[in-house]
This record gives sequence, C-alpha cells and structure tokens, in this order.
Amino acid sequence: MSVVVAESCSKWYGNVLGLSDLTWTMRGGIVGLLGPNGAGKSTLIKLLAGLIRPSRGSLRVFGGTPFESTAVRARIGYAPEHEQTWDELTARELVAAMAELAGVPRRDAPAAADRALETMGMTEHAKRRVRGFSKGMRQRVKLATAIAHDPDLLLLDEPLTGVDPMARADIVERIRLLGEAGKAIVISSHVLYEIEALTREIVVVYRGQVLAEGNVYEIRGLIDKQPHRIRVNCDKPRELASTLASADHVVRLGFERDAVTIETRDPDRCYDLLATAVLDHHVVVRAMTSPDNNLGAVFDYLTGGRTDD
Amino acid sequence: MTEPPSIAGSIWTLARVTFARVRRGSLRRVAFAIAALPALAAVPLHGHGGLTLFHIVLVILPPLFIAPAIGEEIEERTGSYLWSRPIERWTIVAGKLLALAPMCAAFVALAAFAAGAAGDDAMRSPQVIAAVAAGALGSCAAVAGIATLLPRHAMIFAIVYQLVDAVFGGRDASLHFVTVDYATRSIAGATASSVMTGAIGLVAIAAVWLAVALARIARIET
Repeated sequence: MSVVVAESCSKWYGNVLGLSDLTWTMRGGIVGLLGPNGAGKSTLIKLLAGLIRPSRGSLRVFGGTPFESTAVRARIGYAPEHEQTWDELTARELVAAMAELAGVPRRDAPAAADRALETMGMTEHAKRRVRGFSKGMRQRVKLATAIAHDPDLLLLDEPLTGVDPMARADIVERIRLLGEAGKAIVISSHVLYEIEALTREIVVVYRGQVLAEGNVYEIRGLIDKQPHRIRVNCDKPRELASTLASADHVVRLGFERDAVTIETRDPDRCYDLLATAVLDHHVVVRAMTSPDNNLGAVFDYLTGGRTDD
Repeated sequence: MTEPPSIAGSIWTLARVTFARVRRGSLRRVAFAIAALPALAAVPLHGHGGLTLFHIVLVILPPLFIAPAIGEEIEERTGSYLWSRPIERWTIVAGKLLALAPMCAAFVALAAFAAGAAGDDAMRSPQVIAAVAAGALGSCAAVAGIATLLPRHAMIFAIVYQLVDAVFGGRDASLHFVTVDYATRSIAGATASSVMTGAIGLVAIAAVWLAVALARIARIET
C-alpha cells in the first residue's frame, strides 16, 4: 500500500498559491523535499500532517485524509519548521504530553518520552525547561515529539536549519537510523547537501510546483556548478575565515559583524573543514545557515524561466 | 500501531498541560494584581465601589486567561503541534477551558471576597460572590468563541466585547437580556429579573459562544 497518494492536489492561501497540481505517490523509505524557502515544501508537509486541507484535488495518507481522520494522524509524526513550543514545560513533559495526545496511554507516556529523548541525544537535558534551549536542542526536542508515539510516517520540516555542524551530523545520523528501522520519512530542506546525506530519492519543489522527482545525482551535478553559500554566526569569524581562505574550493568569503559567509564549490569538503576549524580555534558557533540563492538559480535554470511568467 | 486517544483523555491531557503552563508563567501574578484592585479601591471609596467597580475584574480577567490560550495557540504556530495530533480539534478548546475557566472564576470570586473583606458591602453576600464567579465562567465561554473567530488580537477583541457587554448590560433596554453582565447582576439579585432568569440567560449565552468556539476550531487550518 502506498504511504502517500496525491492527485492534482493544489493549495491556495487566499490568492497566493502554496502548491499547484501535485500528483505524487510515495511508497516508503526516506524522501527529500528540496526547494528554496517559499517553494511550497512546508505547504506539502502541512497537507500531509493534516494541518491544512487541499483547496483542490485529493491527498491521501495511508488511504485516508489526514485533516479529517484521527486514525491517519495517529500514524504520523510531525516536526514543524518553526521553533515555537510550550516553553514553560520541561523537554520530558513536552514530549510526554505530545505522546499522550498521539494516543500513548498516560502511564506509558513518560517512558515513551524518555526513549524518544534518548534517541535524539537529549536525555541529560530532559528535566530542563525548553525555554532555555539552543536552536539545536529545540530541533532535537521537536524530533523527539515527532517520534515518541512510534509513528509509521515521519514528516520533518527543515529539521537541520540553524544547527551547528556537530549537531547537524548527529541529527542526520539519528534520522538515517530511523529510516533504516523502517519508518517512512519525508524531510524538507533548501540545502541539497543535507538531503543528500540521508537519501537519494528527492522531490524538487519550486514556486508551488514539483519540478522533478527521482534520483539526486543529476540535480547534484547542476547544483555543484553554482557556488554553495554557508553563513556561520560565531564569536571568531576572522579566525574561522583564515583557515578556510586557503582552501581551493572556497570561492569567496564575506564578513559581517559576528558572522562569516563562505561560498564554496565543494560543500562536502567545506563542511568538514569548517568542523575542524571550529574545534582548532575553539570557535563558539551560534548558528549556521545556508542561504538558498544558489539553489534558486539552479531552479530558475531548471524551469527555463517558465515560472517567472 | 498507536490508536488515537479517547476524547476524555485528550481533554484531560490538554487541561493538565494548560494548567502546568499557567502555573509557571506570569499570568498568575498579573491575575492576582487585577483581582486585588476592587479590594484596594474599597478602602478609599469607603465600600461604595460595589458591582460597578467590580466590572474591571469581569471585563479583563476572562480575556486575560482565555484569549491568549486559544488565540496565540492558533496565531503563534504552537497549534501546529496540536493540529497534527490525532485528537478531535474541539477538544483543544474544551481542554483549555477545563483548566482555565475554573481558575478564572476562582480569581474573580477571590476578588469579590477580598473586596467584601476590605469594606465593600455589596460584595459581602455569598450570593454575589457566586454570581460573579458564574459570570466569569460565562465570559470565558464568550471569549473562547471570540478567540476562535478572531485569533489575531483575540485579547483586544475580547476586552472590547466585554466592555460592550458591560455597557449594554447596565442599560435598561431589551438588549441587556443577551449580556453576561445583566445575567450576572440578576443572579446576584441586583436587577428586577429573578435569579432563575439570570441563570438561564447566562447558560444560554455561554452555550451559544461555546457552540461557536467548538464549531469554529474544527475548521481552522494552522
């Protein structure tokens, strides 16, 4: 049985098109949704999670409609893109409450929360309130709320945004293990590098439309022709840059107050080099993001300018 | 495979979580400060504040408790956690009201009791204290309806509604029968209508607003 079947599915927000005429079938495994910010990835994930309804067409998950069916939503775990949570609660209370609301019996919810937090490497912070958590810790707690009830389908909306390189690698590994354990996973990102670490199956979304789906290699080739940008917000941007400046794959370095932006033609090597430089110079990384201008350029190339009309 | 939680279980979990959040947030302290106002004012006014002065508590406290709990949940995106859960969406409103409405009514009753103790003769009667607590429950239902209809700036709209309710409730016109204010004063024995008329009016107003809230929340997309 297919996990997701979408037929001519569209979503409008008033006059704004969120998703246009999507026809797509997902049978399982890990699927990456790739596209720049505002492309429609979050809209698709919200449709799958049952937060919104299609304006036209149909979308079925496990054979039912997620917005209406509680039985379907019981099989889904969703980690939203945004950071807002119930900050007054501890991580354990938050995850346990979400597990209860997903159908885990009350007596079992604390244990389910502990398991989920352990899976996400948050056991030692389980009794701390979410209010004081860093972005990376919040991402982990969000993922824990998504997996605590052992869902069959995981929907992860930009789960790696803003986390430091070490946390990023760790979270990727944990998601990959969930995929190996048999979970169907839909993960969105505007950075191919992130998706590529998890799956070869991607759906390219741009301006509300699915441009392509299938194997990652061809898209990768196109994207590698465009410089990949990484913005690191840290306490020693110049020290970090000094290590990166001599690398042959680094095209350009840009400075702001407390941040350095690196343009590279080899993201894999650049991220490795960054991790080493961070450790060598004892740099405190506050956030690391990948502006998606480069991806937008590739998608413009893919669409041949058709979506600009 | 996990089954969806029961309706009672969902409501209870939501009520518990809501209560825990209020217990740790700043709402409790603000509510105490507002509830203390009639008692503080009773001293310089030599006990002549009465129900008129008490309006400030009835106008502000229900929006303060209910509007952010529902409106901000929808507008500030924490609702996406709840909307993706396999629960009937009306249980979100029910759970929050179960936790917050009695708390709000308790604060209002406490305010009335404190005002009575501070010398406000009008607030000394148990009937009046029960009436204002019941009025607070009715107002909570109204605010829940408003918050689901207008989640953005729900607090402002709810306070305006409460003010309009207080103005019309205080006038001798046909409209006062549809106000929480008039129903509350009737239950307190401060109008020409009977206590029973006031109670029926209050239940009817609360039921209409509750129906609006529960129907509306089921249709909201986050």
